[in-house]
Amino acid sequence: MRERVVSDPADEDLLGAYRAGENGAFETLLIRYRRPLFNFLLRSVRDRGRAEELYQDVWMRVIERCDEFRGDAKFSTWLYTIARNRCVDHQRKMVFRRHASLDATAPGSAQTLGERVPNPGPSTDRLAMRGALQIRIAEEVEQLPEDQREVFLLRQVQGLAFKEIAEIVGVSANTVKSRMRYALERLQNGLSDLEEHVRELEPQKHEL
Amino acid sequence: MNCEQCEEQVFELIEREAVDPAGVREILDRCPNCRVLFDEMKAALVAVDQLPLEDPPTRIDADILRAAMMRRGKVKPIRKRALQAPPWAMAAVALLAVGIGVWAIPRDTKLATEDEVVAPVAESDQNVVAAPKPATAPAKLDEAMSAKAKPTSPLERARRAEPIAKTPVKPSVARRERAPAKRKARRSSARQLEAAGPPPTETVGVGAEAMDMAEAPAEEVGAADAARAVVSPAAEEGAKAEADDSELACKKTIGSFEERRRGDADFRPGPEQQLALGRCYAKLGDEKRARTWLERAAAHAKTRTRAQAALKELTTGGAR
Repeated sequence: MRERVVSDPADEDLLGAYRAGENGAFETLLIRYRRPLFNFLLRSVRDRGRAEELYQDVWMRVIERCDEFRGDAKFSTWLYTIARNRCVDHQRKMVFRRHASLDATAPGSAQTLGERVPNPGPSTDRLAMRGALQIRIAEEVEQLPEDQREVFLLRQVQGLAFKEIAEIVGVSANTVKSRMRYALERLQNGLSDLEEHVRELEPQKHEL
Repeated sequence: MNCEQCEEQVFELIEREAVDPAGVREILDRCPNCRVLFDEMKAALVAVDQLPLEDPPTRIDADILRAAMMRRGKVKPIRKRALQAPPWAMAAVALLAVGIGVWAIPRDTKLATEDEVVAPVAESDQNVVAAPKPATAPAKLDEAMSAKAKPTSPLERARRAEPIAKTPVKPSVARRERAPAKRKARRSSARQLEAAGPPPTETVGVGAEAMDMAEAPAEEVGAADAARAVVSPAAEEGAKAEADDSELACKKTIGSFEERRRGDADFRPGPEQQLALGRCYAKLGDEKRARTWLERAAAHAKTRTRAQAALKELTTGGAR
């Protein structure tokens, strides 16, 4: 998560400048939010292709509806509310969509569908770059219940305040904290076998 | 801080530890359970801090930026809100305009209208006639009179007479008119005044019975010719013969009054008669007497407005 310098212009000011015709202001906003937003979407929908579609869609909506932004909420709240709504829509579609079982063999073929489609898992580059621990954490996060996962991602990836998350999700701040706590407990349990690796990583982090 | 509060604020405590480690340690030392929770959450956060963050494809960012640059600033259509007031406001303004319009109607005009409306019936009653008839109400009255020319019974006559009595502008006057005692008194005084005048003929449907029908207008004006003299510009500008008739009627009215008074020194005319006398004297040019009678009539609530109007007219006429 990128730390923002105090002298940086506020998101709301940047959006106002963009509305006034300054395209550079929008670019600044995009640079500021591209990575956390994309990862929020990626961990929410658990599919890179879908995440890319949604990522583009969210920014297009920002462009289309920036005149509707009244400034009574923070830009980040507005942006993630759009993103969350898109994710909810996507989840609903997925619930009603019938998928062929990846374990079922296709007619006239000995291979299962899962064996024939490209591997949707982490690429070799990704594995080499971040290591097995990171992949494992990502998998654990993706297995969190929906309500806990979104709170966890908004807090951990974007670094939003609990109050702001509460606005986006539409529950109280205490509920958000509870969900965050449950999410961390679950992750802690899921990653218990990797505790040693985590401890090893900790000093390296402090050294940095 | 109790356990419940500690549980609620565990993330705040983790953040606070960076700036106030001693304070946080002091809180956690009080409760082992809170310390366990604190350590678990902290460890989990450290673990998930390794969550890999991936970048979106740069081509998508480029597409987004291109779309952002293509967006033209939307110029909102100018809403003519000032001209498009809400319907309730328009209705309020319309009502206000109507109210001002009604309020702005001159009082003299109103009085003149009243008198003009009732005048013809009084004339027909007294068989003095000659006033030019206003366009609407008198025509209706004529129709009513002709349609009811042959009443069959007193009750029917009374029923028929009532609508005519209501025809004048003021409904309150019409209601008062229905009071039998007053009606009787006025009838007798009117007869006294008219004793000297020509008897009503059958051709106009008047007489002792027709008095009921003409009563309301007669009460309203008393002497229709006087009313014409005061408020009807048409009479002033009308034919000379009509004016002569009007003066003749006034002379008769005054004559009958004086005759009545000679016979009975205590005779006191009623307000309507006072008003009629005042108007007649004004018509005949006796301003002093006219003023005397009109002032007396003005002392009565019933005839105050009309008497004051006549006085005003007298003053205006005198000034001219």
